[in-house]
Amino acid sequence: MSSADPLLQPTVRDPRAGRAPWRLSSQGYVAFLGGVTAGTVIGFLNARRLDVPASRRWAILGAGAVAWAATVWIILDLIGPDGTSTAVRMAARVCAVLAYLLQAYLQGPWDRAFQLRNVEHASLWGPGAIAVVGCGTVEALVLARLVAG
Amino acid sequence: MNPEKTQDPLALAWHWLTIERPDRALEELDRLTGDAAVSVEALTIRGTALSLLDRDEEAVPVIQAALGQYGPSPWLLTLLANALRGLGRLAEAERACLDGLALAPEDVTLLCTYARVCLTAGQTGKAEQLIDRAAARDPHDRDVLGTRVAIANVRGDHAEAERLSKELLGTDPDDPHAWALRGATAAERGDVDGAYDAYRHAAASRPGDGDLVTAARAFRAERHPLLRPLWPMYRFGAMRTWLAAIAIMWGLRAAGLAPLALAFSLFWVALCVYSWVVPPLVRRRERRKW
Repeated sequence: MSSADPLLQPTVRDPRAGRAPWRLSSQGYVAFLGGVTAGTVIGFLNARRLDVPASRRWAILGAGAVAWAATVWIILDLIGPDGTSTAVRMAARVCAVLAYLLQAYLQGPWDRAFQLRNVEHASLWGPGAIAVVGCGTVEALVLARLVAG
Repeated sequence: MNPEKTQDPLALAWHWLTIERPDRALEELDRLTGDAAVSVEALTIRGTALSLLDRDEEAVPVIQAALGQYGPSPWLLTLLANALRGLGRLAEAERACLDGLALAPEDVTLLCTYARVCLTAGQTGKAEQLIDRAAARDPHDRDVLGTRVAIANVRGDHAEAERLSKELLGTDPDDPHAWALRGATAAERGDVDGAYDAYRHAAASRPGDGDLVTAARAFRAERHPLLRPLWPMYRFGAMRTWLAAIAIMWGLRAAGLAPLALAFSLFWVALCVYSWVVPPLVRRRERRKW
């Protein structure tokens, strides 16, 4: 073993100051209230704060895209134009929460590693509210157009 | 020499340190004056005691002063890396580990310390490789087992963490660090009773450690009978419990049991309000009682 040992090369860098991640459980409420887009945006930003590798961050976006596609498919093909708005909302919520569970699973090991640092999670109130209102409104308008069209 | 009978503060401090009383070790060191107070032995014991008490901010300059006097040593660099890790200065902690490993490339404690630094930085794969290397030297070393528990916890492999923490406790049933790891494993699983029991043992074994006492207090509060209805939420997580509740409501409605679905919905809303209101009140009450 020597300094040329690949395992003994420096690979660690300090976490960026002032960029603490959000609690994974709080992100679930954003997904439930704001939909797939809001949950995915928050999950993706949080993955960056946690320094999750790029492949996993892409997987988080992929989970969001699949959930979006599933939502549209359920609304158009399973519920159809005669479906109630309650059914449409419920379908969107269920897809968002399922996507969140996968996205939270993908971030899990990095969040638990973060907890070893004895640092508090950042508050999700502000960013979460913005995501719920902003992304939720856009998503609702798009889904409403799809149902109407 | 019987350390209890000697008047040498350094010997007494060392004695307190070996029986897991770093707080008493610091008291003895405070009796030292002049050059003795800043000797490398005194600084090393003080640095170790402060590190054990999680007073990392105070520990770092003390250990650095010891390094300045004594020169690089694997043990001091291990202490420094642990303290820097506790402060979140992970790149510096890694530097200390690498400096130590340059002196003693197969030092099991240093390899474990470096694995913990990598784990805290989210580099679980590298931490596992380092711990495999340490285990190749000594598979039954307590640091190796303890770090494996921490890795299993981070990976979310609770069964493995539980198995390893039991094995670790089997080697020394009084080790506060092993009890703390067991507490963390139980907490990850949402096992409130298990976490309280483990942290209580850890705090009793090392009464000067404020973090252990705080953790024991927190889980003691969670065991209050008024919080027991919320244990499934702790066990499965808020989001999974929500999902199960929604599925039950939906299932009951789909089965044509609308009144039952309504009753369950009301129960669920009441439980949610209960989970927001009651725990802070119980925790505040329990904090006063402790």
